[in-house]
Amino acid sequence: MAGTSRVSAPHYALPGNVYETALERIRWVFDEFDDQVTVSISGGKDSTVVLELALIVARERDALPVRAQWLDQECEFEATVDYQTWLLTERPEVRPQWLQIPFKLFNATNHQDEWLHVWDPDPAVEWVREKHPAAIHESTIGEGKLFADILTAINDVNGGAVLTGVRAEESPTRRLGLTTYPSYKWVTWGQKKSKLHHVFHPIFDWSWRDIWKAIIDGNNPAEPGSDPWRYNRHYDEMYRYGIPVQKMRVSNYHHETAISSLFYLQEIEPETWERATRRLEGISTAGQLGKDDFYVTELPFMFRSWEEYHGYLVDNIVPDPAHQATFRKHHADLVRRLPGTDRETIAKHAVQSVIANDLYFTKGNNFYVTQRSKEKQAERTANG
Amino acid sequence: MDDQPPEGSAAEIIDQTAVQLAEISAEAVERIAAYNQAVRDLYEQLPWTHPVGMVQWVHIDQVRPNGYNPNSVAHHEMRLLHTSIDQDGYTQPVVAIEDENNPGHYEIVDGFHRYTIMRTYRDIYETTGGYLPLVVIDKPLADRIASTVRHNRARGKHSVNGMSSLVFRMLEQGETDEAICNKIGLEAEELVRLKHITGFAKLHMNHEYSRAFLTDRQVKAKAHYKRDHPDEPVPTHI
Repeated sequence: MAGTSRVSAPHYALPGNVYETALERIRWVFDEFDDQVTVSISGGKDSTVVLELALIVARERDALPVRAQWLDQECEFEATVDYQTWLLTERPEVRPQWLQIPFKLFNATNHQDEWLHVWDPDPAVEWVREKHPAAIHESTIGEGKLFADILTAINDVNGGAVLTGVRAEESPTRRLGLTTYPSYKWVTWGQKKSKLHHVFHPIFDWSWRDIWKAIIDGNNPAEPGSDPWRYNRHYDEMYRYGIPVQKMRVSNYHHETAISSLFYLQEIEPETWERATRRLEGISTAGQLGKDDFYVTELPFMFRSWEEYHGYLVDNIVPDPAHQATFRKHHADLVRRLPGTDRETIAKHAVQSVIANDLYFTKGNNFYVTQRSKEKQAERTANG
Repeated sequence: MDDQPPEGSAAEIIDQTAVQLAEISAEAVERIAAYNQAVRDLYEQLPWTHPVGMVQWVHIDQVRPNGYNPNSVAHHEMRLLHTSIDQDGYTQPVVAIEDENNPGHYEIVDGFHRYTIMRTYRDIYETTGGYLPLVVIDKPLADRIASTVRHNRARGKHSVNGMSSLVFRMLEQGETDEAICNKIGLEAEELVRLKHITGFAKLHMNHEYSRAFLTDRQVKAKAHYKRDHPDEPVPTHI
């Protein structure tokens, strides 16, 4: 797959395949943290795999139930809610930590109202869904926090290890990060977020094919397909809709990298769409304009260059002067750090970040890493 | 009621808003009938037979939604449609078939939302006393479903789950794959996807797991740790 080449140094084969290796990694984490393990789940296929693998390990060592933690972002697909509700309320091997507490999320669908107050306690706000009785509704860690801060604070209370389904397949930045510096002892495939807990990504090196293979093998790998793991039916819906497997995402639908899901949400889950349009300003614009208008591929005729267009967009659609400065800085950084890349190519990518309201520059950084490795290769070729 | 459509599903909306509205005068009813007759006569003069040539004004109580339409329009878009009809009037008729068992009554093939606007917004209803512009096509049920899907798909918005249940209804009625593709403008590939009800995870059954590797940097990280912590085991298989 893309991403295994160029940016990584030489490789040394491990004895097992990714499935066996992931189980061994999880066994090691259980040993290392005396079975004090939480699995962070989103409802996506990757977290399905991590949770099921953790359950296999916990069964082996009689460490059930396993705590599964879902920070519910309110604007979730109905298929996700159904699947997560089943995981968290109907599986005795799972100890639920289902959080439906107020927090702040960056709202990528809208420039005017950049923060979405998830589970807003204001009685005037109509939530996209009702809260579930089995979930935790009251925040014990303060109001108005951001997603990442919430998880850190809660996992500090939980302590021990947190397993996630983070994978590096399509993000060279992430792959480099997960194979270079140790975050815990000698382990590079983790993240150090605080002193009170440690985060590990045991399937970081899986491809999407590996994920689906594990799901269909499920509880009976000897006879694939006979007892698959249950998974989010949203994947079947996306499949029927014709979305390429590599592009299938199950995420809340206002996430900056999930905007493309808006273009089919309206057709796959009309009722969710209906509720979302009432809750989130900007969503219906994305749906009505369609992909071509939201992701600009052609320079609009009234601009002479992508750089000019970028400048115009920053001045006119980003209301907060601090955020305007951030977008300008992102662009200037790219120009400085990619000396071998055409400035118009850079500006075109910077435009996409402004339009997608990608304030954290996730897209831009991915562009930087792939583009920089191209530059390096060109330099090598030039130097003979 | 003029600006805010009521809450609930379209069917509920229609039930709760079928309130008593002022009937239009007998004279107006006569004039509508005369208009309809004149259009029918003129239609005969046309050298072709496109249904839009014969728009008829039919009272909304003689028109009902169909039970199979998987199209959906959100609240927000309904408001936009209301604005459009309020500002420009009805510019497109509702498409319907006549009920074989109940002549003079019609089932919608396309235009459910134009119909719903008149049902739910009094201001629109009052512009015609509840008369809706209608064109009638003559099609059996399986073909009507296909007509609806064609209308929806041509506009690019169509509910996928509704779509697959529609395809199954057509299959149950004995339509062949080829006929379904032809009738509703599906690609064969799309039909395969729609019929693939068991979920697509099965497609990956024969995949071999990827090999697992350590990078140079990972090997070094382990070596450094081992050097600094000689008594601690550092696994080599993960």
